[in-house]
Amino acid sequence: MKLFLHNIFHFSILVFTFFTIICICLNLFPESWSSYSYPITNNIKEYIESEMDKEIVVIGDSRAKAGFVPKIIDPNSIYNLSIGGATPISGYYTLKKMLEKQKTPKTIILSYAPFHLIFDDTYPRPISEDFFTFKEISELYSEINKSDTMFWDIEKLNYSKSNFINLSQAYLIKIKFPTFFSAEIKNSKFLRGSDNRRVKNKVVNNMGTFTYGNREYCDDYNQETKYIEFNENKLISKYLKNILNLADTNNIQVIYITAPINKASDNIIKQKFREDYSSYFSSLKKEFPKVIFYSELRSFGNQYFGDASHLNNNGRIKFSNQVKTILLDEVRTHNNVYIK
Amino acid sequence: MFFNSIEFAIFLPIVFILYWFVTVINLKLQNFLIVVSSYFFYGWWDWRFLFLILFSTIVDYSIGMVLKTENNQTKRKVLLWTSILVNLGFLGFFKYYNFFLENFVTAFSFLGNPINPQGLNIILPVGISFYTFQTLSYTIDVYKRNLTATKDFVAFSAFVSFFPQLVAGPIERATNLLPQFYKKRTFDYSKAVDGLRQILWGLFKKIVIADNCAEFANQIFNNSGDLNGSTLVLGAIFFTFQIYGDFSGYSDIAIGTSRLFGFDLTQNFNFPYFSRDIAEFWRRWHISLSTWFRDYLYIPLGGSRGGTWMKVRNTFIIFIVSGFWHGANWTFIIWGTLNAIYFLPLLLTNNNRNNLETVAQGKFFPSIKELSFMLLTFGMTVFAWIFFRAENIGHAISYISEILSPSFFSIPKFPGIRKPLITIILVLIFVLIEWTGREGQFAIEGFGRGRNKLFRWGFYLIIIIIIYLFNSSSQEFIYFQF
Repeated sequence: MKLFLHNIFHFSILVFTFFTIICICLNLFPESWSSYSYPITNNIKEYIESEMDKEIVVIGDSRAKAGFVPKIIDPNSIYNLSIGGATPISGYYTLKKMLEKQKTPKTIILSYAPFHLIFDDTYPRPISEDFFTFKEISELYSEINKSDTMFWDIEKLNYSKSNFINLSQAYLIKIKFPTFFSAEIKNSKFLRGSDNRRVKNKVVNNMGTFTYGNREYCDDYNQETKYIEFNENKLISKYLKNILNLADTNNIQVIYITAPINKASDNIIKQKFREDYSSYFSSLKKEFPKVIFYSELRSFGNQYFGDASHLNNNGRIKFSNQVKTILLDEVRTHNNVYIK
Repeated sequence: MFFNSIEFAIFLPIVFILYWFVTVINLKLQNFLIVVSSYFFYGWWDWRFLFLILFSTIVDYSIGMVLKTENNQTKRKVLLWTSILVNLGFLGFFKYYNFFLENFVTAFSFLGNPINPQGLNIILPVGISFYTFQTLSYTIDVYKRNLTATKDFVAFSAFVSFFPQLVAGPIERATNLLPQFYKKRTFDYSKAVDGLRQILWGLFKKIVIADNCAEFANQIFNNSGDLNGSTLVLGAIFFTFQIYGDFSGYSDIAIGTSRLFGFDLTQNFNFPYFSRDIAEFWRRWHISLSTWFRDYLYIPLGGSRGGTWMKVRNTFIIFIVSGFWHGANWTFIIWGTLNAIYFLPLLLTNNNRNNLETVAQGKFFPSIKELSFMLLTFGMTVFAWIFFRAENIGHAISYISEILSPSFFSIPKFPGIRKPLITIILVLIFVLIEWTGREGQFAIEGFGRGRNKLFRWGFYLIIIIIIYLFNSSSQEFIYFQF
C-alpha cells in the first residue's frame, strides 16, 4: 500500500504540474486561446477603466453590437458597450461597473433580442472572459438560488442540479481551471493572438461596434422563430428591471430600442410570441414610465442582414440613421436625452 | 454519478481511503461501507429508486434463506417463480409497460377495435436491467443448489449494489462475486496498479473514442434523410466504435475500480471487433450478458442438444430476448433476430466453435484469410448496429436503402458538421493499440512491462493529455438506458 500511495502521489504531482502549466498559460495569455468575443468584452472593461466618458452608451447583445454605429449616430458622444450573446445580466454589471468608476452617462440605449430575455446562449462566457468578478459571480448565484431558475440552456451546459456545484464550477471557470478549456486549447493551439488583436483594433476604431455577418442578403431564420410563445426568464427580467432602477436612481434616461429582425423571420414568428412579447413590454412601460420604449418587433428587408440575426453594413447604416432620428426627436421632449 | 465526472473523481479516493484505512479492521464494516457508498453512488442520480434496489435485495435475500431449508420441490418452485415475477415485474413495468401498451393499441386498432388506454410517464431506473439479472442469478443458483444461500445480509446487499458495476455491469454471477464478500481482502499492489491502468484505458475509450464518434454518429443518424450513402456508412461505423468504446470503456472502469478494492469481476469484452465469425463475436461481446442468457435461458430450453428445430428455436429465442433486453423497441428485436440469422448457419453446420483462440496469436499480422473473415464479420456487425441505433424500423430501412443506392459511391459529405478526420485518426490509433494488446484482458494491460518507470509514466501522461484535449462534450454512457 505504501508503494502504491507513494507512486500515486508522485504521478499526481506530474499530472498536477502539467495542468498547472496549462492553467498559468490560460491566465497569462487569454488573447491567444479565446474566441473573438474576448477582445470585444475586454474592450468594454478597458472603456470602463479608461478616461473616456461618453454621454450615451449602448448596452445590449450582439444585435445591438452590430446595429448601433456611434460614428453615424453621434461620433462624439456615443460608445457601444454591448456584448455578443449577453442578456440584461451582463448589461446590469456593465452599468454597475461604470457607476462604480464614476462614469454616469446621460442616456443609455438598451437593446436586447427578444430571445435574450428568455435565455442566455453564451453563458458562462462572461465568466471565462473575466467580465464578472468573484464577488459578482457570488452575487449572481445567490440570485439564481433565490429565484430557483436558470438563465442558461441547462441541457447544453450539462450543469448539475446542485447550486453549490454550479457556483464552484463558475469559480473554477473564473480561475481558468483547465478541464473547462480543453476545446479552446485544442482548437486555438494558443495561436489566436494576432487575430484577436485585429478584432480589438477594429472594435476600438469603430467605438465598440462589431460586424457579425457579412452577407449581402440573408433569409435564414433567427432564434425567435423557434419559439411558440414568449416566456420571459424571471431572473433575466429581474436584471432588466435592475438596470432600469439603477439608471433611474442615477438620473440616467433609458431608451429601449429593439434592433430589427429580417423579413424572412418576421414572416414566420408566431402570433402568440408577438402578443406575449408585446404584453411583456406593456407592463414594463407601466412599471417604468420614465423609460422611452421602442421595443416593438420591426423588420428590415433580408438585404439588410449579414446573417440570420445581425444587420450587415447597409442595414446598420439604415438602422443607425433611424436611431439618430429617434434621439433627435426625443431630445426635444426629454431633458436627459443627449445628442449633439 | 458518472465515472467520467468530477463527482466520481472525488468520490472514489474518499471511498478508497475509508475502505483501506478505516474499515479494514472488520470485514463486515468494509462490506457495510461498500453498501453505503453504492447507495450514495446510485442515489446521486435519483435517491427514490434506491427503494427498488433495497426491495429487490430484501425479496431475494429472504427467498434465498427459505430456499436454503426448504426441500419440498413445489414450494421451492413457487419461491423461485416469486423471485422471477417480482424482479421481472419491476423490469417489465419500468422498461416495457409503454411498449406493450402502444403495441396493444396498434393491434386493437388493426382489428377494428380502437382503444385509448392511459400511457404512463415512466422514468427508467438506471441499471435496472443489470441488477435485476444479477439478483435473479442468485435465486436461480440457490434454487438449483449451485450456491448456498447467504445469511449475511450486508454481504448480499453489497453483492446486489456493488457500485462499480451497479448501473451498467458486468452482470456478475452470485457464484463469482458473492463469495468475494465473505473473504478478507488484502491490498494487492499489482492488482491495484492494473486496476488503475484499466480505468485509464476505459476513460480513453469512453471520452476520446465513444464521445467523439457519438458526435458524428448522432449528426449522421439524425440527418440521415439528407445525406448520401457513403456518409451513412461512415455514420454506422462511427456508431460501431461509439457503442464499443462506450460500453467496453464502462466495463473497463468498473473492473478496474473493483480491482482497487480487491475484487475480480468477469471480463465483459474481449476485443469483439477482431472476431472471425459471429459466434466468436458473441463469445467476446458483452460476455456477462451472453453467458447469463446461455446458462439461464438457452440451456434450460434444451440448448443445442435437441434436433435442428430445437436449435433453431432456441437460437432465435435467446437472440430475440437479448435484443429485447436492450430496449423496448422493435429495432432491438430486429437487431437480435438479425444476429440469430447470422449465427444459425454456423450452429447448424457445427462451425460455431471454430475460432476459440485469439486471432493471429503470437503474431503481429493476421493471415489474409483471417483478415478477410474479420472484415466480413465487422461489416455484418456494422450492418446490424444500424437497427440498434435507428429511431424505428422505418428509419433503419430508409438508412439502409440510401446506403444501397448509387450515392454509396459518392464522396462522403458532412454538411453542418466539422470534418471527422481527427476522429478517424484517433479511431485508427485506437484500433492499432487494441490489436497490439488483444491477448491481454484489456489493450494496455501489458504495455510498458519490463520498461522503466519514466517510459510507463510518460505513456500514461500522454493518454491523460489526449483524454483532456480530445474530450468531446461529455455524454452519458449508452448502456445506462438499458
